[in-house]
Amino acid sequence: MSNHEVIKSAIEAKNLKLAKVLLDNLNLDELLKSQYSWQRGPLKDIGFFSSREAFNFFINYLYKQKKHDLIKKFFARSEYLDEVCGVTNKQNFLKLRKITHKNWWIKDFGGLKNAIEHNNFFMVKTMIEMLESSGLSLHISINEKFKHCLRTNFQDKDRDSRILRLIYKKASNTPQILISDIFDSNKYQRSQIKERLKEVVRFFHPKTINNIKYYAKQSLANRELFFYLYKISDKSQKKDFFSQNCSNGLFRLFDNGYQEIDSQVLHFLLKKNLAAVRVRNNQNNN
Amino acid sequence: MKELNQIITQEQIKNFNSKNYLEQALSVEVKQWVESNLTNYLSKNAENRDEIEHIIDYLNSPEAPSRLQKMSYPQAKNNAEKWLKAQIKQGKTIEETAQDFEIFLDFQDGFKFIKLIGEKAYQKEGFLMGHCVASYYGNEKAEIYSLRDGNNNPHATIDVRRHRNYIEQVKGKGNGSIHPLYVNYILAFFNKIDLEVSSYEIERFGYKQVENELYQKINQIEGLKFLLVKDSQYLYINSVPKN
Repeated sequence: MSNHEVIKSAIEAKNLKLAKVLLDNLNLDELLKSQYSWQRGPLKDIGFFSSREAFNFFINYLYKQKKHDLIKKFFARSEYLDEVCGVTNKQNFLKLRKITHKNWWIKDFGGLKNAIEHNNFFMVKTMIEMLESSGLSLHISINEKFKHCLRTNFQDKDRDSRILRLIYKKASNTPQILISDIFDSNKYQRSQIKERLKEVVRFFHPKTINNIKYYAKQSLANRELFFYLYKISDKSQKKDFFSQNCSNGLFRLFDNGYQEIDSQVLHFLLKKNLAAVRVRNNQNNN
Repeated sequence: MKELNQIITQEQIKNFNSKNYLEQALSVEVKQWVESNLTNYLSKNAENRDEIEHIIDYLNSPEAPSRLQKMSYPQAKNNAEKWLKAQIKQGKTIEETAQDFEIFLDFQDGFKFIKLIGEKAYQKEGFLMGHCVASYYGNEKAEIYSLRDGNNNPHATIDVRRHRNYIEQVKGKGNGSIHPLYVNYILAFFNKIDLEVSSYEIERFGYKQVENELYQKINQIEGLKFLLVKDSQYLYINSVPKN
């Protein structure tokens, strides 16, 4: 039992009126007591960062109560503003921006990642502007390390589509990151992979899909996915489907029965790929 | 009654301690399952106390396989759900007699709390609620109460330990949460029996314990709803202060 838990429960129940009454009747200095500014335990204990509504409610409350000392303590001298980027609104960002160092907002891209993950369009835009003004190229920086936040945003039913469109504009590899995540994460059931892939293609309309041969090889046992990959691949990639490399799975099947393969996929590959089989057999014979 | 939605946060149950569940496990096989399979599962997933208790009830039952080593958490959960459905079906055929229970609190609207006495009452309760209360029959330390509707169907089971002046457990179907429709009946039961209840059980109904100093400051505020149980005060977390 603690006063922190009661406030946090009110915040989680989205009962801000009750949270305000509780704060009004507690000693804020006592409630948020911590030895160092970077120890944000008391803030987290009351649910300060649990949602956008919660964060902006608390910051507004502290400003209204003229608790500038507490705001400064936790934010002005902090190098860890990543989590703030996920939840702050424009008004509070501008207020906090005045009392913080510019570089602390863009440290290690953590802020941008949080803003993407928490579907905070204003902060995504702001962070991109700040990163670019510091000379950082987003095309290079947005890489596999962004997988998690991009996936979270893409899967958010209430996602602000402007975020991923903006990211895509800045980094054309965005759909490739999401696609590689679909195939690598082991997060999806076999039947879900095609649907997820379809969603990415529908949203971004990428001209080409990198590593399609690799994905095709992984899909030899998944008929629907395999033929979907074939359908969306471009002309040159379609040729690649029948190259020796791509049909590696097929050869493995012949060699040692190692890889599972769907009968229709096998039939398709055999029919279209006889030449490659022949080359391989010749190599084996020699 | 919609506002009585429960609030069970991850934080309330974050401190996983396998000891809690080991006490519930009746056989060596189930204890091993708790220590290995459950512990592994909880190293990667959030703990759902109601769900786990329900699974352990299933694993303790004669219907569970004797070798549990290879049963994963999701498999056990799935089997426990099927088991619950089968139990409920079976329970409908059990007939209690007037000697199997006594009425403890009659709400005069069809609902009443009964105290279980005879073995058939325990069996019916266990079958229809999908938990292991039947195994409590003959346990002199535990008094079991059941909330029954006008058709004598159970909706909540309460385990009272008089020797400790304590209400040990309040369970819904399959060891789950209490449906918001029945919360007020349970609160009336607490008032009548006048024993200590664990804050975990009360907080499952959307209440949160508040420190006395804070309670003294806010208890007069219009719109706030409190529950007083013994020396503790609980604030209903969805109550909205006026003005």
